[in-house]
Amino acid sequence: MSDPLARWEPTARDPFDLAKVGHLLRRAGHGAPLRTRRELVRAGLDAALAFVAPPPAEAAPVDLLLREAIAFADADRVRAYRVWLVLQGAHPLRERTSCFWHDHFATGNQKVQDPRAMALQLATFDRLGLGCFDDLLRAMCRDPALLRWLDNDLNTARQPNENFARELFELFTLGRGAYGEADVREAARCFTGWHVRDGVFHLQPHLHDGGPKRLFGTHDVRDGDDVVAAVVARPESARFLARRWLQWFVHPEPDDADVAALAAVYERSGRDIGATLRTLLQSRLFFAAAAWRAKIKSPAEFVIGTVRLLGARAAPTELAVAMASLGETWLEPPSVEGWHRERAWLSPAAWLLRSNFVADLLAGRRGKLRPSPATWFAGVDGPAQQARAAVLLLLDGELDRDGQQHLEAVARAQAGAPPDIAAAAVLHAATCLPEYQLC
Amino acid sequence: MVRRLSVLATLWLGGVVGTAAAQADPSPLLALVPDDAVAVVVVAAPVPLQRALAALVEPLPAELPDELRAQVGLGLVALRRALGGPVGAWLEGVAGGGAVLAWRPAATGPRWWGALRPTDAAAAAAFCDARLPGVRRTLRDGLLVLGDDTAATTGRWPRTDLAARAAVTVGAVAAVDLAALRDRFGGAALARQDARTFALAPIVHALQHADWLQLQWTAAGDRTELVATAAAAWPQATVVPVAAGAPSFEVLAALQLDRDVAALLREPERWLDADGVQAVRSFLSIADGLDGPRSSFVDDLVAQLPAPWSLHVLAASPGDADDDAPPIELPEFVLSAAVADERAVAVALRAAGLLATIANAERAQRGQAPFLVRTCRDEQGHGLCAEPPPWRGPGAPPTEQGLSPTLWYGGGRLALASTQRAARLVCSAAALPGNGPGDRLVLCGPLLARAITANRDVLALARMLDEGEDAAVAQRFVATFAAVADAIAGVEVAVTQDGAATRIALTAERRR
Amino acid sequence: MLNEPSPPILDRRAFLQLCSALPFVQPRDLARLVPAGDDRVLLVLELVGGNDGLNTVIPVDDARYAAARPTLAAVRRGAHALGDGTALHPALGRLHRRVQDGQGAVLHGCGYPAPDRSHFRSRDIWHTAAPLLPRVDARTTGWLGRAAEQLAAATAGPPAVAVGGLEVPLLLRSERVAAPSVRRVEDFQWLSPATAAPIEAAAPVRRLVDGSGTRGGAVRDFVAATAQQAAALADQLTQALRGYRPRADHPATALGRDLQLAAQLTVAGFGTRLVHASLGGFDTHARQLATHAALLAQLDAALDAFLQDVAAHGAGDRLVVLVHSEFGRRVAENASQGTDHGAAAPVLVFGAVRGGVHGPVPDLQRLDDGDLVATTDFRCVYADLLQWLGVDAAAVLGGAFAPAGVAAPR
Repeated sequence: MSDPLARWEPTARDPFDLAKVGHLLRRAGHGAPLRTRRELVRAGLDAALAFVAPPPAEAAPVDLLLREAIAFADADRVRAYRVWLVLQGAHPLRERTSCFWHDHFATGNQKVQDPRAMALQLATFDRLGLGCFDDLLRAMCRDPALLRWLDNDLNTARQPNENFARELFELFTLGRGAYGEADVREAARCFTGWHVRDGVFHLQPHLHDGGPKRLFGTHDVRDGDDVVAAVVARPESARFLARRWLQWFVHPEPDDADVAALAAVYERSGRDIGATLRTLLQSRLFFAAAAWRAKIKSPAEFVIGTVRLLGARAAPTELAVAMASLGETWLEPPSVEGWHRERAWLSPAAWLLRSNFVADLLAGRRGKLRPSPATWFAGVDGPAQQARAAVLLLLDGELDRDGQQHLEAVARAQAGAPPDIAAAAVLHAATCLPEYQLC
Repeated sequence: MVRRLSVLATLWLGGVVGTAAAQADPSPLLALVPDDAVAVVVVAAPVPLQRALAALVEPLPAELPDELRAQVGLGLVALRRALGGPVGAWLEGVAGGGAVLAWRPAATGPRWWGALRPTDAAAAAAFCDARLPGVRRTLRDGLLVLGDDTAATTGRWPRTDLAARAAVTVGAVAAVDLAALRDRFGGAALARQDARTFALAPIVHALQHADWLQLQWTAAGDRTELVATAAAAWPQATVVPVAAGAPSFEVLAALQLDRDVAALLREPERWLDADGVQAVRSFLSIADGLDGPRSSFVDDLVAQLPAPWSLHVLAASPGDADDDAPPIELPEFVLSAAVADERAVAVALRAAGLLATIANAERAQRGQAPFLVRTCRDEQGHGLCAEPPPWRGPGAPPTEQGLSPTLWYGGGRLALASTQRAARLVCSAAALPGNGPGDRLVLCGPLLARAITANRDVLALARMLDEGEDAAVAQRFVATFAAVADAIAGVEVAVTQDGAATRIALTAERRR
Repeated sequence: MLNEPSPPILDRRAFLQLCSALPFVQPRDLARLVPAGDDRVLLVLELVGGNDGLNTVIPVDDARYAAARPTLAAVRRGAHALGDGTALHPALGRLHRRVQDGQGAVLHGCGYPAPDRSHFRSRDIWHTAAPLLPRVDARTTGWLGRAAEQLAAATAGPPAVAVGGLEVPLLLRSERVAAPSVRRVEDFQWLSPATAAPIEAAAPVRRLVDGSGTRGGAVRDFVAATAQQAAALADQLTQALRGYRPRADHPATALGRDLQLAAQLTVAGFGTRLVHASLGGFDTHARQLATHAALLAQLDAALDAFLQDVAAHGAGDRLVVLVHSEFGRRVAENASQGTDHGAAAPVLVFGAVRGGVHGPVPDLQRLDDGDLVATTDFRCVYADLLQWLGVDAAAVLGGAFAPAGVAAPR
C-alpha cells in the first residue's frame, strides 16, 4: 500500500472534484475552460486522462500546418505557431511534454540560425516525445538543430569536439557524476562525422573515427547509435529522467524514494515515456497534498493558461511577445541548461509585468481577447457571486475565506461600473492572489 | 473568365455617369438648408439609387460560405419586417422625390439637419415617431424638415450647382465647405509632417487650400463610382498619360505615385519629421558611398527617374505546382520608373551589385549559401539578376526560393523586381494598367481572389496566429474574403489634377 | 528653473519606515527592496555605425589632419577648443560647456588590440568586452549583463534595462538576470485594468495583495511576499514619478524620448542601475559633413537635456554617462567626402566625472595602416566605471584592467 505510484482512487471524503481536474489539467496541459473542467468532473478520472492524452488516432496531425508555419523561415512565426498549438489544446499532454523536451534538449535559434530546423525539432518532440526514449534520443542525435547547437558540425576524427557528447551525458541522460571524462572522450569519437548538410543530418564516413572505443569501462561501441543504446540502459539514466519528470509534473524537490519508484516504472515499461507519465498522472503521489500548487507557473503556463482557463480566444503572436517579456522566449533558452524555473521566474518586477499583462489582456489593450470579460459574469449578480465566479474560473473554486472576502471587496468597489470593467477588475484581482501564480 | 484589368480601366475612363430621366428637382429642398451647414448631401431619386445599390450587391456571390449568405438573408428579412414592407416601397413613401441631409457643426457637437419630399406623409410621420423620437419635424408645402426649421437661410446652398447635378445623377451629390471647416476646426491636424503627408500630398494640399470639395456618387449597372473634386492645385511635374492597352500578363494590383522622390531626398525636412529626416540622411550617407565619388545617389540616379513611380503586383507565374514549390505562391512585385538619362542605369547597376555582395556576405554569416548574381541581357534590355542557390533541405523550400531579385533596364524603364520574369514583363509591356495621370491604385478582384485561394492555408495560418482563430474559422474568413474579391471585377482610385482642381475618383465594378 | 525645490522623492530611510508598516514584508526582503546605500546609475549611450572620432574631437592644431581631410576639415571652423590642441565638433556646444564646467570628460584614443573593421564583430567586442572571443553564441554574455548579476541581489527593480529598442542588446545579456527592453515607464507601475493608471494604495486589490499573508506553504509565502514587494516597488516608482516633471526641454527626437525615459528611471531610484540607449546612422561613407553634424546636434541636445533633467532632480552626482561607438573612422577621407571604417576613437563621459581631457592627443604621424592607434584599452574605461558603480570589475571583465581614472572617486 506504500507504493507512491499506485493508482489514486477517489473516496467519498476525497472525491474527484473540480480541484483535482484543475490540478491534472494544469500539470498535464495548460488548463481548460470551466465547462470542460466540469464535464470531466462528471466523467471521472479515466475520461480526464483520455482528455489530456487522447489515443493517437483521435489527435489532430501535429504537423498539419508546419509547412505553412515555416514558409517564411521566421523564428517569431514558429514561436507563435507553437503558442497557437498549445492554445488549441488538441492534445494537452503532448504539447506539455514537447515543452518539457524543449527545456530538456534546450536549443537556441540565436546560434542555430535556422528557424525551420527549430520548428522541425519541436515537431519531432510532438511525434516522439511520448514514445520510447530510445527512439527520441536517437532522433535527437540526428537532429540538425541540436547537432549545430552543440558544435557537432565541428566534431571530426582529426579534431574531436566533445561538446555534444558531454551534454548528452550531463544534461540529456545521466547527470553530473554518472560518467567519467574518458566516457566523454570516447562518446565524442563515436559522434565524429555526424554532421549537418543542407539542413538535414549527414553522415560523413571519411570524418568518422572508426577505431575501437569503450564506454563505462565495459561497452564496446562504434558509433552514436551504440552510445544511445548503452546510455539509455544505465540505471542512472532512468533515475535522471524520473527526477526531471517529477520536478516538472509533481514537485520541484522530489523524494529519492519517489524517484526510484518512477525510474522502476519507466524501466518496466520498456522506457515508454507516455506509459510512464500516464502512470504518474493517475498516481497517489500526483494527487497528494504535497504536490498541490507546489510549483510556480512559468510565463507560458501563466499567459497561455489564463486564456485557456477563461475559454477565450487571443492572438498567439502577442502572447508570445508577452511570454518573452516575462522571461520565456521559446526557441531561445537562456543556456544549454534550459530555463531557470520555479522561483527564478518571479521577481517583484516580473510579478508587476505579469499583473500588468493580465490587466491589459482583460481590458482589450493587448492580445485581442475575445469575448469580452463581462461574458463570463453573465447571469452572475452581486459581489459575492462575482467573486465566486472568478474563483471558479481561475482557481477551480479553491480559495480561503480571507481571499474570498478580499475579492468580494474588489467586486463591491466596482458597483455601478460598466459590466466589462467590473468583470475585468474582479478577474484581474483574482490573478493577483498568490495561489494564481502557482501551478 | 477573368477579364483583363486594362480593358476594365479603359471602360472606366470612357464611362460617363448614367443619367436618369424625369427626376424630381431637388431645388426646393436645397432652399431650406441652413447657412451654417458645412456639408450637404443631395439625393434626387432615392428609390432608383436604392435599386441600383441592391442590384450591385445581389445576388450574393455563390462562393460565399452558406452561413454568411444565410446571415445576410436573415438581415434583409429583418429589415423588411422593421420597415413594414419592401425597402423601396418604404423609401418611396418617406422620401420619394428627393432628400437633402446637412451637417451643422455646433458648440455641443455636430447636428444633423434634413429635408425630405415624402409622397406619403402618413408613412413619413409614422417613421419619424418610431425612429426619430425627439427630433423636431415640420411639414410644409409637401416638404418634411427634420431638425431646426428656424435656422437662418439666405440661400447660399441653392446657389451651388448641387441641385442641377443631382437631377441628372442616379446617386448622390454632396458639397463640403472646406474653408468653413478649417475656420471651425483649424488646419493644425493637417499641418503635421511625416511620411504619410508625402504619400498623400495632393489630398493634404487640397484639404489645406481648397475652398470647396464636391462629391458625386453614382451607381449604374455593375458599376459604382465616387468622384471627389477639390478646387485647388498642387505643385508637381506634369505627367504624360499612357494609353491603356492590354498587357500580355496579369496585373493583380498597381500603384502609381506621381511624386518627385529626388525632391524628398534633397529636402527631407520639407516633408518629414525630425526622425524621418535623420533616417533619410543616414540612408544617403551609405547609399552615396556605394558608387564612391563617381556619382551622386540623388542627382545621378533618383533624379533621373522622374515621376511617376509605379509598383505593379503580378499574379504568380503559373509554375509547376509540385511539392518542390514553396508553400506560398508569392505574387511578383515590380517597382519601376521611366529613365530620363541612361547614365543612371549604370549607376543603379553598380549600386545593386554592391548591395548584392553585402547581402550575400550577411547570408554567409548566417551559414546560408549565397544568391548567384549575374548580368543578364536579351533583345529588349539588360540587368542584374540574383538567383537563389539550388534548394536542398528538409520539407518544402522556404519562400525565398521563389524570388529572383532583379534590377532590369528595358523599354526606357528601370525596374526593381522580386523576379526576373516580372521585371522583363513590365519593362517590355506597351501599356500597363494603373498608368495614366496622377496617383492611382488599381486592384483586380478575380486575380486577387485567385492569389488568396492559392495561398489560403498560409493566410488562414496568419489569421490563427494574429487573431487567435481556430483553423475552421480562419479558413472561413479567407474563403469569404476570396469570394468577395472575386465578385468585384476591379477597383480604381485615381487622384488627378484637373486645372486648378484636385479630383479623386473611386470606381468599383461588380463581376458576375 | 534650477532653483525649484526638489520633488519629494522617497529616500531610503523614509521608504524603510513605510515598509516596516507592511505586516508581511520581512526585514531581509527590505534589504532586497532598497539598494544598499548605493543608487548610482550608469547610462551607456552607443553611437551605432562607427562615429568619426576625428571629426568629433578634432585635432585642430595638427596640419596632418587638414591634409588628410581636404573637405571634412571644414568642421574646424566653429569648433569648441578643449585646450590641448583638440576641439569638439561645432554641433557639440552644450556638451563642450559641460566639459568646461567639469561635468564632462573626453578620453582620447580608446580601442583594443588588433582592431576589427566589421560593424558586427567590433560591436560584439565592445559589448562582450572580450576581443579574443572567437564567436558569439548562446552562452555569450555582455559586460553590463555580468555587472547586473552582481547588482541584482541588492535591488527589487530590474537592475539593467535597454530603453527605446525592441531587442535587448548583447551587452545586457546574462544567463541569470533578464534585462527588459523598456519603452514606457508604466511597465514597472502596477496598472489597473480599467484605466491603465497606477493602482491606488487604498484600492481593494491592493489590500488583497497585502492581506494575502503567510499562511500557506513555503512557495505560496514566497509568492505573497514577492507580490507585496512588487506593490511597494510600484508605489515607490509612482510616488517618485508623481513628483517628476521634466526639468529640461527633452527634444522631440527618438533619442530625446529614450533619454527622457532613462531620466525617469534614474530619478525614480527604484533600483535600475544600468541603462543602455543608442543612436544610429553614424556609418558616414559619403557626404559626411551635413549628416554627421545633424547626428551630433541631436546627441548634443538630447544628452544635455537628460543631464540637466537628472541634475535638477538632485540625482546628478550619482550618474555617469558613457558615450562610445564600435570604432572610429579612417584618418584620410575617401573620395566621396566621407570616411570608411577605422579603429581607435575618443569616448565621452559625463556626470560624476573628473572633468576635462584625458589621455594623449592622437598621434597622426604614427598610424597603423592608416588608422589611429589606441592609447587606452576600452576595458580600462569599463573597469573605471564598474569600480565607480561598486561592482567587482575584474570579475566582470575576466581580468584586472587599470581604471582609466575618468569617473569621480568613490
